[in-house]
Amino acid sequence: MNKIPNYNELIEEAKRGSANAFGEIYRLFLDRIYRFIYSMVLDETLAEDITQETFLKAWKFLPKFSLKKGTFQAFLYRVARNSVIDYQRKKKDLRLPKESENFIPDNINLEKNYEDSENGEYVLQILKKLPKFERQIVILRYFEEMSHKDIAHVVGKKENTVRVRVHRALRILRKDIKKTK
Amino acid sequence: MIKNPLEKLKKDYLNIIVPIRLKRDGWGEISNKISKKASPGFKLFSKRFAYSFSFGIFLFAFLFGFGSLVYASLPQSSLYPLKIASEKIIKKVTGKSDLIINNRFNEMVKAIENQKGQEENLEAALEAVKNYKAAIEAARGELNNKEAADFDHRLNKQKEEIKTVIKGFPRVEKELNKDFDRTFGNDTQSLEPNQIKETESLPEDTNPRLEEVNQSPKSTIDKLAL
Repeated sequence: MNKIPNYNELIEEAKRGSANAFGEIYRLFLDRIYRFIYSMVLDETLAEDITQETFLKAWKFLPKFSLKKGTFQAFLYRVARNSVIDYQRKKKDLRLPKESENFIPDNINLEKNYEDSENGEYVLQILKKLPKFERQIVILRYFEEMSHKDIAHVVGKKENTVRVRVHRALRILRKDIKKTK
Repeated sequence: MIKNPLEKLKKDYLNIIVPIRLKRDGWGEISNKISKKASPGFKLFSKRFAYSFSFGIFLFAFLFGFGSLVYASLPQSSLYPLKIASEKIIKKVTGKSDLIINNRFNEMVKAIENQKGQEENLEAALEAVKNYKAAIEAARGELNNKEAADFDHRLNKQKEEIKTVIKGFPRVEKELNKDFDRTFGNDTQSLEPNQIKETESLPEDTNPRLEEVNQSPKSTIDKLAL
């Protein structure tokens, strides 16, 4: 479902400075990157801004990207993750993370939404209960279907560490889902 | 057990919809920014160039300002030794003393003019006079005949200026007259106009030195008489 067609040629063209090729890459990855960022910041406007910032940074760093270092999607998610971290660091004084966590109304009925949630409200409520790092790993592993190796590249940890953290995240998730059923 | 709930979560996650505005205008915004920024390589170059250019301008302004301060410094100022050192370098490179003498002359004039109305504090002016005379003596020893003629000509011009500048500064005048002959290459005793007249009235054989002076039409002795 999430599979992306072969885009290596587009990447090579974009690396050579083709904005059109990068435009194609933008269209291919926009939904995925936006969802990932939105699930981290839980704010639509913020997610839009950081998504745009992510693609601008990706364009800037594209000449340095090499397939030898990892896949392009790992590169792009790493840029997205770092953009979120940068933004949160800049806005630390404004206590952005707390505000963001309050973005989802508290009166959502989880039991009801488990069956008929719209626009990801239920999954966001569940993900919100996970520590930030575990939240990222679950999204990347189970929703974006990335390999442990790619995830390790995105989050800047060792592959084994990622495996352990995935299991831990699953344990927490299992408990939370049980509670909501 | 967890598989199905995860499938459900995933489905829910994929239901997160990208705002229509971002879908519609997102790439346009990025594309504009990309074209404004040009290629990464060019940006890097222009940034580097801008930094280097700014630094160059700053350095030039600093050196020019500092150089001007050094050049305008007078004896007894803290920058004056730097001025002397730079002159020595210029002299070594060009082999000419013109700059040094002109500078000493200008310093002397400036130091005297600075003290107008406060004659009691003339140390800088007196030192400038001493330096001027020392520079002339030093330069004179290095001149050949042709250069000596030009040198005397310049000295005469400076003398005219000095005359007007030192009016009202008897101490400066006295300092300028001290060892005048040694400085200006003549053994004649006096610099005062009336004393020169007395000397001229003496028989030639009683004053062989004056004879030498008279034989040398370009001599500074009569012109420098203050």
